[in-house]
Amino acid sequence: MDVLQNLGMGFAIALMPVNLLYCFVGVLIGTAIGVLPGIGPVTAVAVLLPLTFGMNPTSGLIMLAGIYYGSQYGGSTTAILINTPGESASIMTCLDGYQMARKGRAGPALGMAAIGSFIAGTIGVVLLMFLARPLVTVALSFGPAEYFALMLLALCTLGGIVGQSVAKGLLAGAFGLFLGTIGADPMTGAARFTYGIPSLLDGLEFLPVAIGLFAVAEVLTTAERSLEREIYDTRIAGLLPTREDWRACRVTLPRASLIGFVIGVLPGAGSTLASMLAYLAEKRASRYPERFGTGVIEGVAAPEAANNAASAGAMVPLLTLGVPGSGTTAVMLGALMLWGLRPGPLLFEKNADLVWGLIASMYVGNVMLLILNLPLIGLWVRLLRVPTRVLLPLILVFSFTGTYAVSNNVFDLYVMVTFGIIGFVLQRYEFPVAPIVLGLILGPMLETHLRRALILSRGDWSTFVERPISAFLLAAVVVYLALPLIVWAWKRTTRPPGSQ
Amino acid sequence: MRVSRSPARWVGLAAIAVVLAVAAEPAAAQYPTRPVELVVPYAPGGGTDIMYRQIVKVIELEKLVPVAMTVVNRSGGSGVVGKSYAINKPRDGYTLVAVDQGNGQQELLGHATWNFQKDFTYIARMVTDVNLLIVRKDSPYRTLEEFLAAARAKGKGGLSVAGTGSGGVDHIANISTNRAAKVDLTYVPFKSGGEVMTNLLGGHTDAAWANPNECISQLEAGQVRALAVAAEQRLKLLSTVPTMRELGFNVISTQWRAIGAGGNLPKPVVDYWVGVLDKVRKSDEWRKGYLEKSVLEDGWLTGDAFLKFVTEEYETYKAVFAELGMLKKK
Repeated sequence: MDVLQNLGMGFAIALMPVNLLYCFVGVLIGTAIGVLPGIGPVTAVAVLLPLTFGMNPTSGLIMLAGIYYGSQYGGSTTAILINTPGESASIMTCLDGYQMARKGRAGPALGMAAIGSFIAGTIGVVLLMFLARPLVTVALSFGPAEYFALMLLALCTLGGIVGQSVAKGLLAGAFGLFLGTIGADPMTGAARFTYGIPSLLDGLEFLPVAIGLFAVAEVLTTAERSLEREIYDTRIAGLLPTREDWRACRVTLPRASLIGFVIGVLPGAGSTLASMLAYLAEKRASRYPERFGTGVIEGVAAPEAANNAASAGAMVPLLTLGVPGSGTTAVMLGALMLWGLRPGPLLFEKNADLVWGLIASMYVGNVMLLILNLPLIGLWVRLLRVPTRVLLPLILVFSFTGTYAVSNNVFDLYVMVTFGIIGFVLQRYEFPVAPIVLGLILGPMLETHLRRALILSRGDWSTFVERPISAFLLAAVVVYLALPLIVWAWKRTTRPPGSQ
Repeated sequence: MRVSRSPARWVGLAAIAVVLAVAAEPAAAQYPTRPVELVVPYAPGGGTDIMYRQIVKVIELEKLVPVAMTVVNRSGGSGVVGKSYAINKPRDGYTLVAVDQGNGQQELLGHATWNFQKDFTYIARMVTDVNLLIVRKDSPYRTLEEFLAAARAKGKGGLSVAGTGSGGVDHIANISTNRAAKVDLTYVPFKSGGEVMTNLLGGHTDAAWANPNECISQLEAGQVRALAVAAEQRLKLLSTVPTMRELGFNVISTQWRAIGAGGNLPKPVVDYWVGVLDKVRKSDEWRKGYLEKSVLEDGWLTGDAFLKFVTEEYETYKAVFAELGMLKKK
């Protein structure tokens, strides 16, 4: 009852014309930066921050939050259309989204991404409203050992995306993990594999590598084959998901939203991890896991729903503890302080109008995003009719500008081109490239959490099984890895030989 | 022809005269005449970035500088990339760069090839951010003495303290505390202040080093307790928290943020910026709108005193890194 009353007050604030305007501006900017690879939500929020100083804090926060969750909508567009993740949270969307586009189903993929995002965003806000307090306790119980076990579970997604050959997929994953060791050692600061290049000290940036491996390599591969369009000439079947698509995603959307939200609440885990785990769960639960990666709609719905719900989840530690759960919320925390607020455990009591105004605005913003994104689908799909000889150079232009925009560092362009060539060669020899990117993202997290956990346990490995959450997650890893073997063995023993 | 050429020649002569006059004038009188680039060697949204954007905001508000000022983020290599870019630009005062502890640290760690003294001009230290040693509210330790006594009793690795990174300011504070109090606190490095706080609140570490702005709301809500502050004086906002020095341990741990440029910046240019920044820091907008709200201290330090400070700090780091085996530079 209390919640509903507060929400009513929140809506009264969020529906004020000025706040509606800022909300719209926020989600519009968010959509734009989501579509363009390079500028991510952190940068956009940080650069626009000074503009908000004159505003009242509620309006300002509504706008910044709009940019944040709005960017999660747009990120899928380039992933589906040109196989380029606009940010790390959309890598998983590339896998099935781009395959759907190649089959002429870009419309349904984009539609599912938009509507799925809307549903997940809304579920996320509902969960934020009711579960913020209890969930934050769970989030706090995650120490280094628990994070390590969680990352290990995420690493299992590698098994789900190895493609045709398990050996090649695992090799690619190992290569990615190796790439993740480049840079200053997170515990001692010693430089590893940097060869005196300062740009490598912080490790390889995700975006230059991903744009190289996905976009540039795809351009090279297509250019080598033929400049005549052969893929997209197939009729573009419909702009919206079909009835069968919806039926397939009936359980997917709520499940992925829940996973995304919970992972989003964990500080430092983030929407990328959320989308990976949602994809993994989906594949595991599916009746036809072997078709994942060939363009199934659940493969788009799950990660897209998860990363949107995660951005709602990331607001939980910010609003209940005053602790940022992600890079973007860290900037928003700085903004709150400059507006003269002290976001912290008392925010819900002391600034109820701000918190509930924000929560209500997230409902409004999600509706705006849906209205904004659905008509764009037709436009995006038409983009695929652009002749290849025009489209490919355009993709290259976007790749270069997007990569440079990340940190204004020319070195990133060398990285992108290098990985473009690596990706091209790997595609030639039918190596999947997604495991490389996953390894690069997960490797450093696995390493730091493992080493932190061992520092805290004074080198005692049993900490991982003594702590209940960590033990549970590790058990899930074992089950995940062993289950197919057990099923296989069971089928072998129960079925008379020669029946297959 | 003669008639028409003659004025042209006059214009040309006049132009030369103007150029000569400009060259002869002291640089400060004519500086700045074109936009000034402020290089922030970190990604947008961090503490340094926010400070620079505040400086530009105050300068624009009070119309202190006649030209445009643009903040350019060039991140990478923990600041080495952006700083190297800035010091390789002409040293004419049109490229300024954020300078901080990293100038000395990255040189000592062998990550940068510059010389922190010769290759940089230290114009003005704007803010300092101190470190507090904090514990959870249900922690058995109510004072620093109790905490250190427990650490001594438990021996090596008995108590853990979270911080934001190896070789960083709070890591040094931890080492200094260990040395001064003859204890062996385990330092656990995390990536961000947010992670440090959640790990402390979740009970995964016994204590944490945190900046006031990272823990003020938890302090106010009574979720954490500050045992001591590693600063020269007590903080205005937290005047009940004793300094480490008062308690008998000579541990000072302050992070500073400043404006600098490549080495040998002409004196008039340095003076120009010292003048401008002095006005910035004295403005209401800066003191009330930024320092107070972000819980930062005014760190004003310029000229030789600033360079002396940086050099002394460099020597401290050198000794600590040598002890940790992290020193690369001989």
